[in-house]
Amino acid sequence: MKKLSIIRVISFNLHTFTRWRLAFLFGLFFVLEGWKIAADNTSSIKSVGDFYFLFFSGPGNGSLSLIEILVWFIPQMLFYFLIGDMAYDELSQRGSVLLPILGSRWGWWSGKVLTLFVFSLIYVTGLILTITLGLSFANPINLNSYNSSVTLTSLWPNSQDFSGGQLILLISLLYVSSMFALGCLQMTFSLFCRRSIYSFLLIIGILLVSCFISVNHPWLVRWLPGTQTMLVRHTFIDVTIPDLSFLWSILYNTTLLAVSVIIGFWVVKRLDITRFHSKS
Amino acid sequence: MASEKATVHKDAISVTNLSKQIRGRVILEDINFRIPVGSIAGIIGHNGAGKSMLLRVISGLVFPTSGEVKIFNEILGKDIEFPRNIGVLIEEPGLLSQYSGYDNLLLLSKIRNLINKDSIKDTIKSVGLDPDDKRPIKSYSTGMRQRLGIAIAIMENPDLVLLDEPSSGLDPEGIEIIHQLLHKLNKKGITILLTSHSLEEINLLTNLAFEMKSGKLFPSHQ
Repeated sequence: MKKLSIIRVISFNLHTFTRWRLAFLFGLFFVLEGWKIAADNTSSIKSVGDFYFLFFSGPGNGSLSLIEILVWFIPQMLFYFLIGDMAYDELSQRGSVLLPILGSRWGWWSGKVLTLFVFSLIYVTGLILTITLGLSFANPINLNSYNSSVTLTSLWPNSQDFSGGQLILLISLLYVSSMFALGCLQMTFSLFCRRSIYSFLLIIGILLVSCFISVNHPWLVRWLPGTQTMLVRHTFIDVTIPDLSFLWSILYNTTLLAVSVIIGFWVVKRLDITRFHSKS
Repeated sequence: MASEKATVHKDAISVTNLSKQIRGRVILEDINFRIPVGSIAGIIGHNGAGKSMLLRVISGLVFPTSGEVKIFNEILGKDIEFPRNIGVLIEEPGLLSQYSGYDNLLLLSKIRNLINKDSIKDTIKSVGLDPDDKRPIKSYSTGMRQRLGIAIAIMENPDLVLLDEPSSGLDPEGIEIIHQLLHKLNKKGITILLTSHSLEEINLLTNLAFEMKSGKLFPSHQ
């Protein structure tokens, strides 16, 4: 028997992603969002760096603004919606055909996990690019001023300063690692409870609880899964938050990912592959 | 390519003392049977008798509560996780509705990369469908989807084919095409196990038959 190629499995998974096409609609939404924010003459945006910071930094740990929460929350909610049917729905609908072809439950599960990683990269890259596209529609001159971050230093004078490039790197790594870890938790939970909608609601709940529960409890911030993407709740920007470094977030997400992958495999290994409505 | 492996073993399927319970409900009870290599075997039974569940257990998708399944002398769950080189159609085939029939088979075939595009087209023709039909399968009739499900099961030239009610949803012409196809596959040495509601179909197609009643399997008096 020919050895199974993980690249071919990932390629199959990306092709059969039933919610793929909706991603283009979301892309359009982000272009408009970028255009809307960049076109706001009253904002203090001075450069691309400022712009990325405002869009991706998340709500601070002080007084919460609904706009800040939504700008942080919506791109993530859409990501978890897009991957919602990746695991359990596929297993219940195509499992009887796919698993004998793959020949291994681990092959199926590892293919899903790696596909999730690839999709997280594509999504975050696409998010940055579409927002940049939206920004360039509104004020192309902003694109020439890339390396200053006026917003950051004016709002958090004690924070470290970052160039636009450093910000993109930080944002990309925090978002990709966090979405990869929480996405894996979502897939695992969908297998466990045998309903995709419950796992989606669980992740949405985790994000919202993380956002609100740590306000006025700075010691909690580093322990919550949803706050790892929030740049402004990291100690290097907000010095009132204790011990939430970039490295901590990466390690936290890696641990969450490892636990989710192991529990997910444990569930897959024991799961009877049947349809929701069995004839016999 | 019914591989050499298939021909050196006496039994394609050997099931011993197999039982399956789900939440205390007995679905399969103390099932014992053997299917020699190269047979067409059939299981007849009503809805809810346990036919589909038995095929799921044999294909490695569902774990038995007790008992043993051997496929070409390899113990399922011990020597192998899933039967090697098996084709399966159990209930609906779970096709990708936005793609054409050809694209569905092409996508699945790329996972193992065992067959080429011409072979896929030949398989689609063999079930009476047009490989150049570009329509997405959401516009297919139930019978066309069923034919495509059978095409998926046989496209990689398996040694063993499990078909759950292959005639379900087919018109008389479709049934005739599938019956001829199954005879042709069997002549090539492929072992086939199918289930059906129809005694006539079982009599016509199979050389070994069983009857399933309330999770128990009995030899059928054809």
